Amino acid sequence: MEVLKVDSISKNFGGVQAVKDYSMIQNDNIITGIIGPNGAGKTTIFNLISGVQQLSSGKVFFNGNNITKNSSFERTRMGISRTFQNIRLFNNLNVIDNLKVAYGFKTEYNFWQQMINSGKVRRVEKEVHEFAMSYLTDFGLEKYKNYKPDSLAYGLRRRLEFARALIVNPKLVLLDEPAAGLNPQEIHDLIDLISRIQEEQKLSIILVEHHMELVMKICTRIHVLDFGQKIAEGKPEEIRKNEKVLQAYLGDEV
Amino acid sequence: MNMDFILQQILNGVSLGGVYALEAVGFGIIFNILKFSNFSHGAVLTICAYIGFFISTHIVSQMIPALVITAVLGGFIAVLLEKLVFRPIRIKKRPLTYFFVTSITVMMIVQKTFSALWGRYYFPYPEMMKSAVTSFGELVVSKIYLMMLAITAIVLLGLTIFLKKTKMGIAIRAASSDSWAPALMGVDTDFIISLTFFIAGILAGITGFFLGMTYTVTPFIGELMLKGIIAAIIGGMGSLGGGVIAGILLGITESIIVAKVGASVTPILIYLSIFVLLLVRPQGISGKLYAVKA
Repeated sequence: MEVLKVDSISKNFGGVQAVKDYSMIQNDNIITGIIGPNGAGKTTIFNLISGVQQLSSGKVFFNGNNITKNSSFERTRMGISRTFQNIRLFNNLNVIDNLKVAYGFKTEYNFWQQMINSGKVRRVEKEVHEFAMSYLTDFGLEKYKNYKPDSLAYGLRRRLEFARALIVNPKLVLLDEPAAGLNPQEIHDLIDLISRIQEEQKLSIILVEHHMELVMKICTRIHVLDFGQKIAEGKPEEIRKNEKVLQAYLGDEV
Repeated sequence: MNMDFILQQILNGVSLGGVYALEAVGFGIIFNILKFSNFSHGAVLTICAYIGFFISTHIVSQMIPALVITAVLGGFIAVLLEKLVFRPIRIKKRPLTYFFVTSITVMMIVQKTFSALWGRYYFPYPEMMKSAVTSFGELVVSKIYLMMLAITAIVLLGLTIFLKKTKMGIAIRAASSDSWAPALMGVDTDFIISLTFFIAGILAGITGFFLGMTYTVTPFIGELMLKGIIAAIIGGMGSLGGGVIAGILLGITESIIVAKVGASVTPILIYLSIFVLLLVRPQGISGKLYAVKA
């Protein structure tokens, strides 16, 4: 089933064309990788899908609905969640509150109930707390629940950000360089973690990544970007042999 | 200085300082999210001082209901200001200076309007709220000061629980550390900013009511928020807890200096000491330094 359809989107920053006529169709229950040299427009594509930046042209559909005009918080509530290339955890909140921020829109009480701190609010908040704790346990973060994220080791921060993206039970997850800054052991664990979660929740994942081993191992399809344009698309083994891809990565002399 | 004198001044100072603490928090909570010094807080405070006078003289003369109505109206006035004045600047992504200058302009407009309309009159709050003292041995405390202190404590405690425990409070704190990432957690940032203004407005309403009750209502009553800003700076911008502590310390210091040196010299000493403090410890009590601010 089709989850996301990106229909020839473009993005200009002043005179620079960061993304040009990019299209993709993403089905459920698969992992797609987007690779390309630095500055190829990969993160911009994530920003356009998640609504952080406005498109210059093109359309984005999610579950068949045109979401081009929707703001980023509405898109998140529909079921698109994401992580960030340079981790964006809330460093003034402790670990468990970072999860609670993400889960906030799922809880059903309104502003006035909250102002009078009704019994319902307290009951719901207790449930949310327990749910968030179970998530932390699942990700091996339970003993850090009262820590501030910036006091955690880098790998744990990445894991926390991943947990935060997943706690809302999204349909589509965008992972922006999940392996950046991790050591080989952590990357190995990450590969296991992504594969396990993907299988358990039948998630649809798009990831941007430079770490080729990770991409080749877990992605079903790969898109290759260069100068804002898609230069190749296919299965990992096809991409490995693609002439254009080798040229983009290694230069003209190849 | 004997012990009773100091205790007496500390008692006076704590309740006065509580009002500064409320101001500092109302000012700080907006600063944390939008990173500008919101002088329009003083405008809401001024309007609420008049509203509080009107309500307590014409509608209900009991303190608590009059205060609650004033505070809620203050919240709505602040939200209205946010939607009419600050949101357009935010949507256009203007520099922080725009917010800063606009907030001073709002303050001036309110001050000048009230001066032109009612500047000639005095508006004393109903007498029944003012008199009545209690004494503990040698110490004499005005009941109204004790009441103010109790209400301040309850409000600050309630706000702390709200910010720590509830989803909207957590969202406010998240938005204070990162302006656009919360939207990607499904947080409606526009709503959260309005909510923050609502809370700040409630605090301005309470402060306006208290100041109106303690002093007389004049168009310039909003200038008293400067003490709150000073407390916020001493506390360390961005730290609400620091602002509360600094507010109370400022109140106590002020009471002692007023009693020892005199009321006219006190503001000069207080303001001078701010220069010194900013030179010696620019990060304030909490010790956080903010790079971006206006």
